[in-house]
Amino acid sequence: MPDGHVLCSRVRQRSCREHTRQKCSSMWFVAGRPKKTNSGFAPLESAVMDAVWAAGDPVSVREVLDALNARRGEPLAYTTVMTVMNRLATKGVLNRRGERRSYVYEATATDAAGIAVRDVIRTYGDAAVAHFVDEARADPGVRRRLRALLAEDR
Amino acid sequence: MRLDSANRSFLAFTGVALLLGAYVLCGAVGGVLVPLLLARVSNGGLAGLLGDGGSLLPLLLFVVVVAGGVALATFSLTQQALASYRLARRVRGLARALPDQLARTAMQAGLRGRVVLVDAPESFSFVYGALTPRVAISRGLVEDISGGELRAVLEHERYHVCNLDPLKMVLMQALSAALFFLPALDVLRARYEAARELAADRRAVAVCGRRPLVGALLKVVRGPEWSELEVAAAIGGPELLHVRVAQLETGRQPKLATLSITHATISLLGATLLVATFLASVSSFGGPAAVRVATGTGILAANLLGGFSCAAPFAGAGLLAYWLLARRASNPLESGSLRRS
Repeated sequence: MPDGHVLCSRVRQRSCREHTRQKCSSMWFVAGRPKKTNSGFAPLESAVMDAVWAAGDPVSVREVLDALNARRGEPLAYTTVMTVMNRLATKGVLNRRGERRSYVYEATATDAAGIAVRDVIRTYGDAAVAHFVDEARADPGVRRRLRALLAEDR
Repeated sequence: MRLDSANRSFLAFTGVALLLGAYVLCGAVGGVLVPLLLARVSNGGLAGLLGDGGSLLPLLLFVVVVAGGVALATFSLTQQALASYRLARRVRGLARALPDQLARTAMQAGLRGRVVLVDAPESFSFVYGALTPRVAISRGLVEDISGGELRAVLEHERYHVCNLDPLKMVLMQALSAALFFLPALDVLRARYEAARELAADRRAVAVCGRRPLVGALLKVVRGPEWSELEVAAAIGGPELLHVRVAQLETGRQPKLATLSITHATISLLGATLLVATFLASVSSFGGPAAVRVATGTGILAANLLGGFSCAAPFAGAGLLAYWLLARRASNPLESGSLRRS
């Protein structure tokens, strides 16, 4: 019996309602209930992000799938990786470009910490008194004035 | 002790909100309407509520506005408490040991035990935690700025820590939600938000001079790579930077936002409607004479007495709690107390 069936049976035993909610989709079969990592990603999302970061350039679903399957005993399905990447794009973690059937994806932050911080600020920003972070997108005029102040103080 | 403009705005905001809240909840509802309704019910049963051709509509309107305000404030408080807890948890998840220079500078700035180094390549710092404020500073910022600039950033943040700004924001947002019909309060909140940044900058300049603060600001304000983070962090806004730079240029606090005629008119209208629905409710249940019978005193005296007896203990307890929290915030924390917050 595949691992997924065992996991699903355990879930069923624990809570029927939770089992129904999870619906034992193909991804759940493979991984059970994904446990979020410190960066806030589920394990498969985290693996996909690692593959995208390792590639450096924009990548297609097929390229990510090949990179992931090269390291796995049990290969992932194309649709599983596509679903995860689409979800990451919806979350704003990946940027999707191109046309239908030839989409390429790239990460919107340089590493997991960057995404986690952005997620924190986006979600809980109101709970922080943020100062320097607010000012990130200043117009060139402000930067010019700041440089002039620095020059004055030299 | 002379209050700065941030604290004057905060005091004005909370003063108005507390008085209004007390007079509406304790004065109008607790001191007048509840005794009036109880007297009607005790005299004529539930049917007595509609006796004498009285209408329940004004009362319903009044209750909807007041209960809506209370519900919105409760929702806001809950959301903020939850967000604050999750933020602290996520910051802890990304926390790294402080390098020597950061630990030393934090100690010099009086922030021992309150600085958390966040393992992120971006440059930012912020204060979080309503009751135990802490400073989160990113690895990117620490690596990018000089020792003097780091001190300026921490002195800026120390103002927010000692001033309990995260707690004040929580209170102001909840009170704004409760008094949604008074947009004039939003102007006071905007004044407070701008003034606290200006005051924090003044503190940093007073301790470190202007150059380190300008240098730190310039390093943060730099690039297109920040655009997404900036959009995400919709607190304050880029316009605040203009005001801060203007203060650094002139050495004086720029003019802050003032109450617009639109805000004043809408607020006046909102307050008038609330009072009108209250008076109409009283009128539909027998008017001032019925209030005198139910409370043993006039409508004005019952309202004032109820409101004052409610506002005074709240104000007293609030001031005492603030004094205790502010005293605690101005002291360093024991090292390693991060997990207890």
